[in-house]
Amino acid sequence: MRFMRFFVICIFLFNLVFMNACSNKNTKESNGKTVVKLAVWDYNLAQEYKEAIKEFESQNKDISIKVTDISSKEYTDKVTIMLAGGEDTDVIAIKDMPSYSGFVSKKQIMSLDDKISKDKIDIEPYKGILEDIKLDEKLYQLPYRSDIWILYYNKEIFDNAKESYPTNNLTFNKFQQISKNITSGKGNDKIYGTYIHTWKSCIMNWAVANGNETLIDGQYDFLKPAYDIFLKIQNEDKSALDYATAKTQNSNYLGQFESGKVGMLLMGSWFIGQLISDKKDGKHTIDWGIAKAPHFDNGEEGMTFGNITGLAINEKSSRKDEAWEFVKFMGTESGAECFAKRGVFPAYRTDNIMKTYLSVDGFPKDNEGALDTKSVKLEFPPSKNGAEIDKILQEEHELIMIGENKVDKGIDEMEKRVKEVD
Amino acid sequence: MKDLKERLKNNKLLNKTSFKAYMFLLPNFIGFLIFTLIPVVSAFGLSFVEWDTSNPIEVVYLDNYFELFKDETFKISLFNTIYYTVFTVPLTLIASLGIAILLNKKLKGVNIFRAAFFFPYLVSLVAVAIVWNALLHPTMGPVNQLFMAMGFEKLPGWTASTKWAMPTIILVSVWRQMGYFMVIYIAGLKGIPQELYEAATVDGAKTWNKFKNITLPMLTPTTFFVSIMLVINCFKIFDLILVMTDGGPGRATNVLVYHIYNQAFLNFKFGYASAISMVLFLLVLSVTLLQFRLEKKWASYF
Repeated sequence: MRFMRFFVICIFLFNLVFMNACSNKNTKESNGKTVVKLAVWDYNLAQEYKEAIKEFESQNKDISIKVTDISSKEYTDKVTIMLAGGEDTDVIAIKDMPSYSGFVSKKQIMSLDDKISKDKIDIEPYKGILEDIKLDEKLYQLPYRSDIWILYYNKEIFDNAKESYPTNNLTFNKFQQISKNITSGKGNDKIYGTYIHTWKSCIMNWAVANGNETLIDGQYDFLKPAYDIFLKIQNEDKSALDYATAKTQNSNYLGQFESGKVGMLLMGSWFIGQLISDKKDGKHTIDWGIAKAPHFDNGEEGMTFGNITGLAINEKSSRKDEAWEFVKFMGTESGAECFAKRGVFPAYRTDNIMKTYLSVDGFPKDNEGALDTKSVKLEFPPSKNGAEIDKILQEEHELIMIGENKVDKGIDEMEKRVKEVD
Repeated sequence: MKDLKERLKNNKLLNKTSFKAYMFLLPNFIGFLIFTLIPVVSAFGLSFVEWDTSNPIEVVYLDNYFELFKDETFKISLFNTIYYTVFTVPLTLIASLGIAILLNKKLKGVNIFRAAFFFPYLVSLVAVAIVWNALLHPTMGPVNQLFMAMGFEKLPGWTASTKWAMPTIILVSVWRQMGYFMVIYIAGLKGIPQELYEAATVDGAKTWNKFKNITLPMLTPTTFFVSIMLVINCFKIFDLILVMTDGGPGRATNVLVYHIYNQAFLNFKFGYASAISMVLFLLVLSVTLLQFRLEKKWASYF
């Protein structure tokens, strides 16, 4: 009996101690430094991140950065739940617009406007993208990278097919033609003209880039020309791996292009840095080049779309000032320099930084104009129901690509379902 | 007087023992309270409000439930859940019973076969999904290539077609679960007294008659247990869908739990997600109650 009481008391004590240990915020000070916690994805794959953080810590001796690394696929879900659970992460990397809008509408990240005006940050080098990512006239993240979509090509495949390299003024019709011309072989040895990744943006956003519509408007007729051309590539010319295969194999664009079996790839500029570093590591031996992305007849040369990646500060953070120092560092000159050196396209682009970027060892030299743009549309504008619309569009996209729905039917479904989102 | 004293003493003894019993139950109960009971009760409460984890809670009474009638994805996922359950439960029952009977014989290496059938239950689901997706690949997968070699022309698209995606999930799920229930069935079969079979043999009964009149009736308690477990498992199907199809193509394999997950953790409509969970709860509860009633009618305990 006495033993039982003792046992029960032990359990309670254990619980008490254990729960205290869990909630103890012991990271506030360690050897006099303020620890700023940062959540990012695939930290181990991103050398540039490590360098930038090292640089920041050497410039700010009183702050140290503690990174929480989360895998890319789970990043959005996990961070949202971390924030909802009151986790004391100070700085959060923002991966996409739907999650950004979600954080803002849940008031989980703070507005940075005051900080920006107080520190008199020059907004000219952002080339207007700050305006694009404002929600209710307020800015909640400071971008550190701003990628645009361009065309990558494998020179060897073009040489073998005796086709001239893609130019900057390609139209999508021409793109489809070339793609057909350079396709050859059969079965496992087939060389495909292009690879269409399973993201809806790989098709939808070319329509967005060349028009005035966005993906949250609820009207989707403007997507038709883009579907027509890519379905032709996939179904008639068979010059791209079909969607069902890409999906069931979980194929990734990196592996596809680096295997040397794909002639052209439309992808974001983050791929430049990846190709350069993978080549250095001996992961591939592709001789590759870049060009501006193709455009539709209603568009013009240099019209493309982009993704913005930024850092935001947790509204509940108790170290907002230190967190801001870090966000500012990453988003301005010094951070941009670190990124540019590694072939990562920074959001803050002065002439100097562009010079650093273009002179990276391994950067394709023959077409420096490839990164000049006429206009860059956002892949997905900020919106309250972003995540929900995003999912609907991806589902309907899938049905069109595997041939379950005709384009018109698919577009009708998109409109019908998005209308029901409130 | 003496009697009363005796009773008091007994009572004290009883109290002492039940206190001990409660103490032994406590650790488990605390776990149940924190991780099951409180969440269930709060989900019930949440189903009457709108809440996105951050903005203030707004009470909407039954709006979340009315919303269900308008939500097309809910209807699709309800249908898909029932579709999945209706096929998976009987198929798994038959498959696991069949294997159990085959492997209940005294064979050389029977344990190896038993282990082999149990194996899928132990393997990581993610690996299972990748292997099955590769096997069932519409053009390059060995399964369809075999069909092609046999001269079939219209081949199933498996997870890449809306028509075949659900049957594929059912197939994989039967394959995955049957080993587990096979073990339970083998235990059930071992419990049947051999005398019954001997007596039947003396009476001249054939194998089929023995199966129908001895094995099946003697197994009803096991079958009852297995079918309840299966039905509950089926209504809760989520992991396989997430790793194999992501609810797709389109919404072809979108099931209730997957819909709940999306509403709660993607769209942050915790109130609405809770309302769907309540529907799921009622569904499982009523099916289980029905099964208990049927059990009284059919199951025979000897």
